[in-house]
Amino acid sequence: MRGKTVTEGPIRYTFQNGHFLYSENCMGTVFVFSGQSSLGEADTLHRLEQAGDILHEADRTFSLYKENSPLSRLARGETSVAQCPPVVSEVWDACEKWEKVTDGWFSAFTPQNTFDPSGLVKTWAAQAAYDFLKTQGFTEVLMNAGGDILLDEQLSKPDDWRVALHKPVSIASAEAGVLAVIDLKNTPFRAVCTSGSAERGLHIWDPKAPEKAAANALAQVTVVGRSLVQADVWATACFAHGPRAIQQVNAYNSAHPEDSIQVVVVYPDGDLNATEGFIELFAKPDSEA
Amino acid sequence: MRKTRHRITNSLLALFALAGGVVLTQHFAGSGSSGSFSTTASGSSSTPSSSSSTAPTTGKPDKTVTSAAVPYQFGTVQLTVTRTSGKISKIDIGSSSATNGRQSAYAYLVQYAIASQGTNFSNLSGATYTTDAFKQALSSAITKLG
Repeated sequence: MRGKTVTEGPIRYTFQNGHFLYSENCMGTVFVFSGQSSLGEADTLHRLEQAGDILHEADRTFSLYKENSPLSRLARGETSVAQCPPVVSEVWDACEKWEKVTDGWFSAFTPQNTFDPSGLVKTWAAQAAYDFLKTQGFTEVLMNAGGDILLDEQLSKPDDWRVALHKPVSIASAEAGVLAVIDLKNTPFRAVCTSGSAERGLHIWDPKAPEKAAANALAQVTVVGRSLVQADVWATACFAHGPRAIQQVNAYNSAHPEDSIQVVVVYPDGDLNATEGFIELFAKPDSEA
Repeated sequence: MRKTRHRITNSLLALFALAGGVVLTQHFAGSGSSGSFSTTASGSSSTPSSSSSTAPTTGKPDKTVTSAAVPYQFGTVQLTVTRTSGKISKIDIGSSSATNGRQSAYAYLVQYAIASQGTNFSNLSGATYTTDAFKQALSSAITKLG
């Protein structure tokens, strides 16, 4: 059983000349996949649904909104990591690794000191779903995991390399619109992740603050990275860190050029700051427009 | 919203198209002849060369265009863009002001950001929206598209 409920809404799918567009409601948000398939419409849909199942399986395991998920039971102390499915241990290790990489600014331990890998699980599962689709021979695959973007290595349409960054307001608000557009063609970057309070309020805690208070010094952080999880984790870490995250990432990039990322932050009053090099990512205006 | 699995509108694309459409009004309104807006302020040199990461496009004639003066929270922004051999070769910052105690680099960022807004794109990154916000944005987009 896929476990869908009415509140999850309809699945949407279009297929035309091998180009598919598919969305899956999961984890309280929407995942959108698009790309090219050499299979027929029904076979393509079947594989997209399998990718959707990967997301739902991760949700069943890791959701802290589901009372009886392994993670909820772990948080209540009713079970141990060793008794949970092996992926829990895998994600736990990944969280520890990223906590070190970000110098402690990403942390999967809540103010109540329970394990909450929500900052990583969405993109971790999305990457798994994406990888599955790539093994099925789909090409030019673009994924939008609730606002976090992953691009295929080969894209033939120039627009597909361009990702708009939303203003730090809800997409449902009257002020919804584009802050800037970046172009990742001929760069080492394939992932774009944004953290902010526009959609879900102040939900990122500062792991270094007294009582791990909610971080609120920035309105929004967008990280351009080499992998989806890398960009997602750093977006959470930078949001928690606040304005000084820019200096942190500049130093990190100098020390780790092969893993470098680029970051742009929006202050609550609307102004911007960014890491050295971000300016080169802005899409060049088309003077014919 | 329809509940069938297979028959759906291009509503997702419509949302992205709307997001693009919203900012078009801030895009370059001038043309090569709108010299009244241009005249780069002395001292504001051209921007750092970043064309190495830009794929050359060919077949477009050399041209210089100047944007309208776009107001933003910290002043106004106006850019003059020069295209040579099919590539954006220069972006000059015209009359612009950035205040409020920010570092001067911030103004450049804002100007680049505004200059990029009118470009096409396929995807939209934002803070993780809820399913409800997504649906609301979709229906709003569809309504506006008529």
